[in-house]
Amino acid sequence: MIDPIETFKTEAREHLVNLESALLELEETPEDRDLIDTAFRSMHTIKGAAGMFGYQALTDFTHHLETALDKVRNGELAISKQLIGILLDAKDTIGESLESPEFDSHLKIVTNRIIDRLYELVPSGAQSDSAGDNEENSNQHSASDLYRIIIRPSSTTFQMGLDIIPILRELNGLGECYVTTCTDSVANIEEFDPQLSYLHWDIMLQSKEPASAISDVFMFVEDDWDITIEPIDLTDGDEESDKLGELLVSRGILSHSQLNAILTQKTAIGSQITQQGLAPESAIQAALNEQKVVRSLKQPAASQDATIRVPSSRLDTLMNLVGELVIVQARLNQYAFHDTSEELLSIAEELDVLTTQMRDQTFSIRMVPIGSTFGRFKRLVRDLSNELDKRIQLETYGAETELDKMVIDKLSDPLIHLIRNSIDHGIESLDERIAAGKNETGTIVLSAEHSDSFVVIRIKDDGAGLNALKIRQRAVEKGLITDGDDLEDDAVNNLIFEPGFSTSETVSDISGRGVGMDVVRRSIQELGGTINIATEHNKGTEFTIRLPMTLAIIEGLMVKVGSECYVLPLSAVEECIELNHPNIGSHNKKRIVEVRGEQVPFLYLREWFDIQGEPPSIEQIVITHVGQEQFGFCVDEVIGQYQTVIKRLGKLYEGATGFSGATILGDGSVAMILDPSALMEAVGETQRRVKRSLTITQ
Amino acid sequence: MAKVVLIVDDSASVRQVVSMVLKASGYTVIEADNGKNALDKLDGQKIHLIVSDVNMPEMDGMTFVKHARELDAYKFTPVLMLTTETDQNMRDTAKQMGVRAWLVKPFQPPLLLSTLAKLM
Amino acid sequence: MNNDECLQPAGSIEMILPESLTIFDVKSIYAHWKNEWRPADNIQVDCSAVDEIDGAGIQLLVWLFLEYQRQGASLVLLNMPAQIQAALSLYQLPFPWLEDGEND
Repeated sequence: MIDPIETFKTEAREHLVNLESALLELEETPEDRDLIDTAFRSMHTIKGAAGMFGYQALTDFTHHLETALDKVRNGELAISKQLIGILLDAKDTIGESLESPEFDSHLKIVTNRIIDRLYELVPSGAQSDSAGDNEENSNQHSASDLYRIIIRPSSTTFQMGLDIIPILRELNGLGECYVTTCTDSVANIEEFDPQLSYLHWDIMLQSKEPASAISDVFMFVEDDWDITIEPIDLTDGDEESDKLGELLVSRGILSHSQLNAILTQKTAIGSQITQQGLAPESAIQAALNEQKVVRSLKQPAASQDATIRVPSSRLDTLMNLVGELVIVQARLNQYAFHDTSEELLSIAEELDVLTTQMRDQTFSIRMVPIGSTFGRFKRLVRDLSNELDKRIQLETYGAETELDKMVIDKLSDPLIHLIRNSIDHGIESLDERIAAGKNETGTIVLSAEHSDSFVVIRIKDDGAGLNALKIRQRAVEKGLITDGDDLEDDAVNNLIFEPGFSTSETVSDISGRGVGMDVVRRSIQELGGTINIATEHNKGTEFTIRLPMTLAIIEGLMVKVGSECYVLPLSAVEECIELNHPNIGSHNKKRIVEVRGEQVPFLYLREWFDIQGEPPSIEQIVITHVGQEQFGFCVDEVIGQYQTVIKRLGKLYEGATGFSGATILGDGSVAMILDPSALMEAVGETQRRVKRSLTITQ
Repeated sequence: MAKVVLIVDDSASVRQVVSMVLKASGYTVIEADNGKNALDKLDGQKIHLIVSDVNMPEMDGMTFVKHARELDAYKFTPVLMLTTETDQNMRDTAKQMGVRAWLVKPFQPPLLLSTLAKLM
Repeated sequence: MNNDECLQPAGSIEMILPESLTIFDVKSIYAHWKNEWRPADNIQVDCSAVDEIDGAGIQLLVWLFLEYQRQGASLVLLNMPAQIQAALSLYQLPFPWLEDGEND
């Protein structure tokens, strides 16, 4: 029996002979329809036979030629010397290629060259690299590159011998497939019949094939299955002409749909293009160069940031929403972490990244340099000092320090009050100053700086300093303390913050009317900050205000005591160590631990908050710094970093010391946010009280 | 395991072409020249696809498919009917028997292969 | 009190899939599984014998996975032949049931 392949080769050579003579004659008589038909049929037969005998590369190659001849048949393409020349070359090449089903590199180059020459002649829009039997169909590129395909097989699908697997395989062959298999019907089923089909599919297909090729896939199932093929329009009206992608499109290197398909991937355009071989390296480089030039020319206009006025309330609402979003996202994180679905976890992580960025961006919108506020004060100082006949100058530092706009607004009044105080009571009159040997002109220094994640604002004057005696007297008068109370200097000074306190005999117009130091402190506390006094008789007074950078969200460290969770501001945390041998201090709840030779006092939270239950055998101490000092907190367990949305505590909690707010955890429970400095103070206070009571009982 | 295709057609040349094309693509091919002989081939061996002509002596394609579907081992096997005409009545009858796939003769081998790809 | 009521969930159990997992087989396989159902924490499904699989077969596996998941158990597919793996990957299922811990 003759080897069928030999039969094929012989037949093919015959057809090639026919083809050649037809082509040669056509050159003389281009209008001869019969000749055109002969040429077409020869090519058609060769193509078909080649496919049948596994000569795939030849089939693909002759497909192009057959297409061209078809166009000649339709009158779309005219016979020309060039065309005949190309087709004759092609005929020779086909003859060569009959030797083996695979094209060697020589043949690949030659055939590609012929195809290129061919398409220079062929009217545009006729590109097709598929040798499938769609030659009757139009070979236009579809406008859309992206399709949504929804497939719902009938329930008796399997019993009819139909299946989704060949369909999915074919779709994958048409382009990039993103398949979502919907298993919900299987998941929630009462009586599962394994012979029925329950699964359905939602697929995104990125394909260059015409829409007809896609619907073709469903040829045998479309009667029974529920099928939707929806082209997705990727075109938008953006004018971003100097983006690399747009440049490549305008240079004709990429098509719009190619670009859009690339843009939906999130990796760099350039590397994708080279990877996919869509354009040579040099083409990208040239486009980049154009981009560079265009951008440098555009530079001056671009340097001015366009601004837009927005009502503050809108930003407030936005910030609130972002805060809420962060909370929900934390809940999702927790859920995703414990769920088995990896897809869910990766989505949650992506959301995390985006939410953080959004949070940062949103809060940065409201950041305003404090310098704008400082500017006002200069005027204030000048006016006031004139009024009081004092010489005072205001120095400012750190005007560029940015704060949340709302913080600055709320700070305005307290700062004004403090400055007024300095001018009124702090800085002495001209005569007094000369008598004290000081510079005639008093100086008030107003400074702002970032420290950790705090903003530190200082108001310092070189005036008379606070008069401790006078303060004591006043305090006793007002019934704030009793005569016998033994108070450290610090505590005495802080008395001025007590409500109802004022050392002036007359409430002066200037610093008086309804705004006492207690209001100042309250305002600052409301902003989540602290205010401290340092003073020295005759030397001056310095108020230090510490405010958290962002109002609503801080990076926190979550800790656990018993079943209670607490959050410490991460910016204050230095380290965490294990506690094995507690050095039991006195019964005032303050303890000491040794850290690298230093004695660090710490607070046993379990005791402080009176938490029931047994402590674990190994406890943790979180060492924080408060100002220059170190202070520790002993907890059961350090859980980890936690993006904390601060919820301010209501009025009910005003008396509760040690908390700067609360936050809602992923599982809906509440964790208190601890204020290390407040707690440290409170412990110190307790110490002092005990000391006093001890003294008294003695 | 290679997929097994049963080709049932009374025309030897059709059987030959189909057989060659399928074998070249890695399938195992079983041939029968009419419905009755085809049923003999359905002896329990695994067959992944039945390709059958409609018009055949002794037992035509429709009858053959009907009988095939009554056998436990083949009641869910996909069937591709080959036909020279587009007779709607016949199609409807075939549909009722669960036949969903058709191929009009004559066909180019690539079309046969792409058609098979939708079924297996 | 009969034995069934005393059944404590086993830690890890093994299931061996048959050679053919197609529309022709799913009915009996499903019945067999239901009959032999044992609760467990982790199910190791040995796929090495599987030669043939189709949509019905994969659907049955999906059902198995979801059913065990409903009961809080995890299920892993082991020793999957390349051909079967190829078919399964077409579904792009988000199940962490492959040996190397990846999803489809």
